[in-house]
Amino acid sequence: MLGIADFRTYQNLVEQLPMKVCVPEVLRHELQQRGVTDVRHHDLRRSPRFRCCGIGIIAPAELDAPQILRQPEAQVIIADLSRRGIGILTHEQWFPRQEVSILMAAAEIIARIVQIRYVGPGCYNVGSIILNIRNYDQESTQAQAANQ
Amino acid sequence: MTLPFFPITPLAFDVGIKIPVDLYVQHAIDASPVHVLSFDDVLDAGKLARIENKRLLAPADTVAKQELRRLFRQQLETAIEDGSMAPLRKAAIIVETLRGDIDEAFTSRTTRLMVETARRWGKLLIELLPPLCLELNDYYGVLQHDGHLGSQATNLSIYSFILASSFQFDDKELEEFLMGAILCDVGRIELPEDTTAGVQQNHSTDASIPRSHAADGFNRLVRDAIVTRPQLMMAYQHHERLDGSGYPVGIPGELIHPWAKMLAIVDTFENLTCARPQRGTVTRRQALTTMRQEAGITIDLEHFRCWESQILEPTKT
Repeated sequence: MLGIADFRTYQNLVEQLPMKVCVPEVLRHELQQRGVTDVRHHDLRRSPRFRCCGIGIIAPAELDAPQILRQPEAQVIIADLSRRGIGILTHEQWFPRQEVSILMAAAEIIARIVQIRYVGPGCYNVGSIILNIRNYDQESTQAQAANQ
Repeated sequence: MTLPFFPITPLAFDVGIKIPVDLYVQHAIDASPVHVLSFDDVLDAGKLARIENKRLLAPADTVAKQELRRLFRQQLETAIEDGSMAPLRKAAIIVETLRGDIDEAFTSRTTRLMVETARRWGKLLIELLPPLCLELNDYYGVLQHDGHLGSQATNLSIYSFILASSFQFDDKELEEFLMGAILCDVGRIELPEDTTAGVQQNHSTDASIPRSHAADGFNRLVRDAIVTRPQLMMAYQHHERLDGSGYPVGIPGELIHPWAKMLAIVDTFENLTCARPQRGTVTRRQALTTMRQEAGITIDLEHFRCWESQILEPTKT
């Protein structure tokens, strides 16, 4: 887990970590679109997914699978969001049940990975369920209150 | 016919054995089973002749399975001690005991029991099988090709032992590999037997098994710290294909774990040669013909050639 989740941490990590995700041309077009994503027959969801395209930082949040090597923190592309889930593009393969922390510009999301699809070399489409959202402002307000 | 009987190999029985359940024979695949031996019958040469080379069936109820399991466990102890017993009969007893134990563990749906059973048998198989000096074709005759989960896990472990013997595995790795082969389809315990629901895949070898079972198996096994990373990858990636057409992730060959690639060979063979409700069984040669078309494209060419040589040109020992 990254631990100190705030906008400055996010900003520093974005500057330090290289973007290694290799987005194929076909997907670039899709990432530029907006609105609700298409629903495929094997991809039934409870809530609609909204396309978005932003930079995030992923890091293992909890290690409940010691056999799986911990991947280092890395830049990812946030591809879509729904009420319960988040879709990201990563350059490394993650595995089901791994809990991850995804730092975004406005909040930190704790999510559990449920499915992974290989898109192309250096690009995996990772679907995960949101377990918790930590809003940066809330966190810093709480920290300030604690200090006082 | 899948219920209420299950097949057992007549080779696992010998003169002097007291039969613990009623037994039936089936003269043709669509024929009704005919009662042939009764509970508590003691096998003599005449009674044994009535079941030899026949499709032998036992009732698929819990009590009958338990009784047969007890009998085969006792038989296995005798077989280990008995130097004069024919290797093929020993193999039949090993296979039936293994199948019974796997069936019991998988029916319990307890991951710990499944993992422990697989670990114990991984170790046992590398002690019991090498002295038998049998070929794949010998084992094929004592295995059951009914497509049931317990039978398939048993077959995969035996096939994996044979395929791995062509490669440089030390005993520890082989034990780990066989354990992985037994566990690779645990995700299927969530599904009803012979399911055809939820089919999403058009791959010729496994169309009746929903894709979710690979990830389900991974999800189940990853919680057990005894299961190693290669074993997890065997469960998770044994339906991945070299050209990226597999599942659950669709990764290309260079990203598939080598043990999962090896397992894919025997799993494809097993899926082709077992009986499925929507299609009959295909012969070993027909299965090889289908696999030959896929070799180097979806399945590993070198592993396939090793497997093919085991069936077509067995090395005599």
